[in-house]
Amino acid sequence: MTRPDAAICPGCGTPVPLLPGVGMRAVACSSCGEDLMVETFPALFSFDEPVLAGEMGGEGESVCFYHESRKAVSVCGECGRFLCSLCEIRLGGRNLCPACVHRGREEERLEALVTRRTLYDGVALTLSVAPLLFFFVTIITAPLAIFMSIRFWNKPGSILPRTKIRFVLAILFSLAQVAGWGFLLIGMVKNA
Amino acid sequence: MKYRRLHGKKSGLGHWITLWMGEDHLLAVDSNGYSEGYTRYYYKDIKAIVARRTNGMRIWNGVLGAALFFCLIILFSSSGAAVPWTVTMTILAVAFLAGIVVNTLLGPTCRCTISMPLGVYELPTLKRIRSARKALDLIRPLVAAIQGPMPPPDAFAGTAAQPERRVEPVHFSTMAEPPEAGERAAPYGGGAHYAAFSLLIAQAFSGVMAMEFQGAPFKAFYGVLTFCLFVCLLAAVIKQRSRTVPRLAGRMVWTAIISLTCSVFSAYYAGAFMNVLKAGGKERPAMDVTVIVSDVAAHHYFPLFIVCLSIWGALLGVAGIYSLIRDKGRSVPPGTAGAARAGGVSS
Repeated sequence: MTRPDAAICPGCGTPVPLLPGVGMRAVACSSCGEDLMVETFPALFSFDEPVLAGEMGGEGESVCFYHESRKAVSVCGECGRFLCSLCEIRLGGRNLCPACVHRGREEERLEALVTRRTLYDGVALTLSVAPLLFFFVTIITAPLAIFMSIRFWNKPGSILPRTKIRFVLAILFSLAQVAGWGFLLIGMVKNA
Repeated sequence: MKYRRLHGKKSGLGHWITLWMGEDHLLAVDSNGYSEGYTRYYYKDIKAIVARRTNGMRIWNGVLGAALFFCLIILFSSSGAAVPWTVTMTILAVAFLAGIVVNTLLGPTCRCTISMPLGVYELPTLKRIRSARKALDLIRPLVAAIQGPMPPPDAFAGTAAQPERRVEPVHFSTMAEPPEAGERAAPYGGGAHYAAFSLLIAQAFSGVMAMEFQGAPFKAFYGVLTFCLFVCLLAAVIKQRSRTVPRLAGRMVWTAIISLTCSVFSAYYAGAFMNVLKAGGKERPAMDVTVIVSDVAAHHYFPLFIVCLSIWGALLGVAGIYSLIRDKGRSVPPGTAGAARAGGVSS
């Protein structure tokens, strides 16, 4: 542990060598001379340790599901397969095998791997409110908003704290519009 | 996973970015209302967070100040103009002034980056040094819990290609490092601050007494007291630019200056506004300063204004003296991490 690492100056991109320290410190960039406030963490001063393939499994010992010659060191938290140190993937506080990580990503079951989500509640609410500016299109958009709200009610939405209030409001607004259209059409039929 | 929102928001054209703190990672969320994109920065991988001060606050203050100046020029040069025009200019001037005050209170702007093993990424939501500092205060213990203790600096002492240079803390008014033991600034007893806060309290009492004692000697005394107060507040500002004073005391000084200035201007503009309304657009309103001041002083709400201002001034003074005494009692040695936590700031 003899190599000090460096933070990058946001102004000119020059590495600024640092020493370990706790709390924010003022340092100057050697290239552009800008005064920087730097908070360093232990990861800056540690080497990346190489991933070991794991010990060879002996007779009578549990071995990795994917590498029969390697000793198992953990169990997949999803499927229960034995894993060597090369195969175990720590994710969201659990040890998973590569297959379960792949499946979890495909099915969006692993929240830690989600990089994009569609907010159907926001879409439904907009679909129920925005067309009010052009009233006549609500005859199409109101049922569509109700359908979207019901169809995607249980679909995973934002990973941030969020309630279903947008879905509820979308349904209420859309029902009111449908009711309005109903009264209008009934009135037209009666008058005819 | 539970997330806690960190202060700050970066708004773009049709989208906005927010920063959230999770159990084992920071989450940057880029949202447009219909979809969200997530970027995770795991605590175990964070190497450093770097904040570089930018000129955003000065630029905005300059723009708003120019606009305010422009409004005032128009306002004073068109005293015979129609009432709606005068009222519009007054409202605009107050809005620009409020913008300057808010921008100044939010503190200096910065550009914040986070160093990860695979590169450096910008944290666009941390636009102000104050919000960056607050965010780091929340993140620090979580990162420390995962990454463990910091290695001793001795292990790297001989290998650093370039020694760190300590910059003058004057540039970072809200997140400056306490002075090192070897290069400690000359001790400051807080004389200017004590004087300013004492005068604030004295002026508060005098303000209330001025409603009873209308004589010329008392008015002269009150005027001298107010002048001394502004001199002491200015001295305190100058002192706290280069010396370590408690953060609360420093803020109280700025709050006193801003609130006193705003109260004077708001009283004047309220008087001018009343005169404009009184004239009713039919005749030219009296915009002379002496006339407006005497009109304001004669208004039946003026005593209430003075009482509120006095209470506010007294509260600021008491809070400032309390912070000075509290910090003195703690005797936090400068140059320690505890000094920063205890509120020590060299600004």
